[in-house]
Amino acid sequence: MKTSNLPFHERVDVAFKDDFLQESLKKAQEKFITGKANTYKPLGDPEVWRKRAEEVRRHTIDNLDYYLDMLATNIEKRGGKVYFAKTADEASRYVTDLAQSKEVKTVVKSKSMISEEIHLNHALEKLGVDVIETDLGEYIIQLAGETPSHIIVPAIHKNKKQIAELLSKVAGRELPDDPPGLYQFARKVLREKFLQADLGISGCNFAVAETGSLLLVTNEGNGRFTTTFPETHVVMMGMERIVPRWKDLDTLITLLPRAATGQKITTYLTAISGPRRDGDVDGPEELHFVIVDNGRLNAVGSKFQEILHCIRCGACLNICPVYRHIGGHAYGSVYSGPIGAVLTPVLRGFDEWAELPYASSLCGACTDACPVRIPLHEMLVDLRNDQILEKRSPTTERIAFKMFGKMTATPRFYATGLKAGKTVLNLFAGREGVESGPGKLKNWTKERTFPSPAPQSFRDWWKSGKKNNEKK
Amino acid sequence: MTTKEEFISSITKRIGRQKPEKVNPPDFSDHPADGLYDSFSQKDFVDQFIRELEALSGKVIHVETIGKLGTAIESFLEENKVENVVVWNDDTESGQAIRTACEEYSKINDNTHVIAWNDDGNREELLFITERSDAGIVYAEYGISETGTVVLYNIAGKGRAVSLLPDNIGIVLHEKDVVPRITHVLERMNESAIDHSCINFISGPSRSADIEMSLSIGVHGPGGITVFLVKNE
Ligand code: SF4
Repeated sequence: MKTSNLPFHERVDVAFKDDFLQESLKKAQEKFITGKANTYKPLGDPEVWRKRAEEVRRHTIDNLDYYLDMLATNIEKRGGKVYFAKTADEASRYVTDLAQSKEVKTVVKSKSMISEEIHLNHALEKLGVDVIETDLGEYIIQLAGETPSHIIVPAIHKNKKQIAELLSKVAGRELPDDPPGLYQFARKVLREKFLQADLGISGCNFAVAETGSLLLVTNEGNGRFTTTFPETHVVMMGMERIVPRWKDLDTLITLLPRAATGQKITTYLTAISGPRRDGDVDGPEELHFVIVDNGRLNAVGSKFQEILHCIRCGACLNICPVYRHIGGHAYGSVYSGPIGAVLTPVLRGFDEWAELPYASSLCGACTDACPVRIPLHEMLVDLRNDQILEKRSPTTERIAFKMFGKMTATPRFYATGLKAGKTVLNLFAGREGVESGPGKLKNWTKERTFPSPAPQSFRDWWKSGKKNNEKK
Repeated sequence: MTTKEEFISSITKRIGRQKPEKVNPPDFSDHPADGLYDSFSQKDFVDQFIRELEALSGKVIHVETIGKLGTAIESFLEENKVENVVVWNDDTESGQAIRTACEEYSKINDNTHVIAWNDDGNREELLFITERSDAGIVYAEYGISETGTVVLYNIAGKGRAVSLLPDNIGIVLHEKDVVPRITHVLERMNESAIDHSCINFISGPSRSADIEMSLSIGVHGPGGITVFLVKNE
């Protein structure tokens, strides 16, 4: 789960000093936010869709035991195998044992956050297996030995020069830093690996209980490659990634790509039901589902249960003014942004993750953006309260405030983030739907001086006194 | 090791009730998309399908009847300078029409070779040949108007790789099979998923945007998608 050994405020510092990161986060957020608005528009009233999507998720998670049972039965009916893993270790051991028993040499992986959670690549590499990430963004950060900094755009923090250097090492010659040439080179490498690989590992966007199926959502098609050529396919699935029936996917799949990247649909939706059948030539001979808990049970039956409704669209990252300024790596966890700030401490406890609930301005923009209406910022408040009850708050809060104070006192927060900040403020200055947010925020800020974002006068003041303050 | 029973009962315990014998998923009498397309005729849905597909840089070639598919396929093969084309091997009307059209074309064009998906050769050979083909031609079960999507059912002679490995993909779609939105395909998936190990929804060419978010087409999969849109007979 952990992706860095630096303390939180140092990770934030690193992000702050990275000009390219700041620029590309801004670009990405703007692009995704506009795209989202444009693709929501033709749907009519987005609230009607979001409410329906929420109802579907709620019903499913309220009956998670029932639907997991149904899913497992139907996967087996289709000829697949099911393995339930309580811990990260169990999950990763199942896959490494399988790889060993099949004498696997090359593994191709399409994006799977859960394998990041359980450090699966590392475990496989220790066996001497060649593991290749096939989502191009994931491949780039794999070459760099890093972790994703955005759920949807994992290599958002890398510029083309850095990418050219990484790919040049693979090529054994110097590649110019022009994207078309780099894409071309990546295509060649990935193609070779796809056709060589004896094991394909994919994530799971949705599992469908009624038929024991898997739905993969990709733009590149790497999910198709991973599930078409290797003789064995392993699906790594978080236990909550399930829907009862195909028709229950309707609203979810309508909102997911729109909320994620502002696309009406991704290039590929791939529905896999069992291994290849008699007469099929391609597709794997064996299909394994590894259904992983790894801390998710903590959320079930708790006031944080709704966090399991998440469909991993990344919309809460794309709207978050804090994420915009610190990027994904500063969170130090596999999951970043508002979803990461809630999910990580819920899965892993506060011991190492006490600061995360403070990596938020509680503005409520995430809650408003979430296609399944998870009350993210309310959960952040709850998590902070829980820490206070656990008597953890004094130090952690101090650290968090130091961080947050530093952030809001930095001109950059305004220079690049003013627009986002403003939008966010407008959101809670009188729009319905986030009412509970500002309410809670008010209660909470009563006791604390909350660094107030975006006063124009601050910026003016800062402009005039820039030199003196910058090096503080 | 955790057994299925242990795993599931730990969830039941946390939920804090007995695991139910039967749960009925909520069925709603309305749909959020209700009313969106009230004024649409089938022609409007087809037009919207074309617009959406073209916005994704897909191409459309209109075909009067399935009998005239040959001309359309000919222009597709010529325009893309296709030397090796792989087609599905399937005895439906569309499947036959595709294969015949390609074979006719290759008879008069010495440089063009046609391979039917599982005619001969084993898995490795077929994949090898398909990887080296410049075009693959298949047919769609449905077109989805709202998103410019085609839906392919893969089974036996209708291999998955044919629409994935070649640079250019041609897809036959009948106008009558264009449905308003994904809802209509999902409603039938409870049966079609049981009959097919793989079903693909394809909307435009393969896209990647991982280098400074600059969009690139065809990095992993095909860079060109052409739909042969067959008019209702
Ligand atoms: S919490 Fe909501 S907005 Fe954030 S990734 Fe999950 S579904 Fe998307």
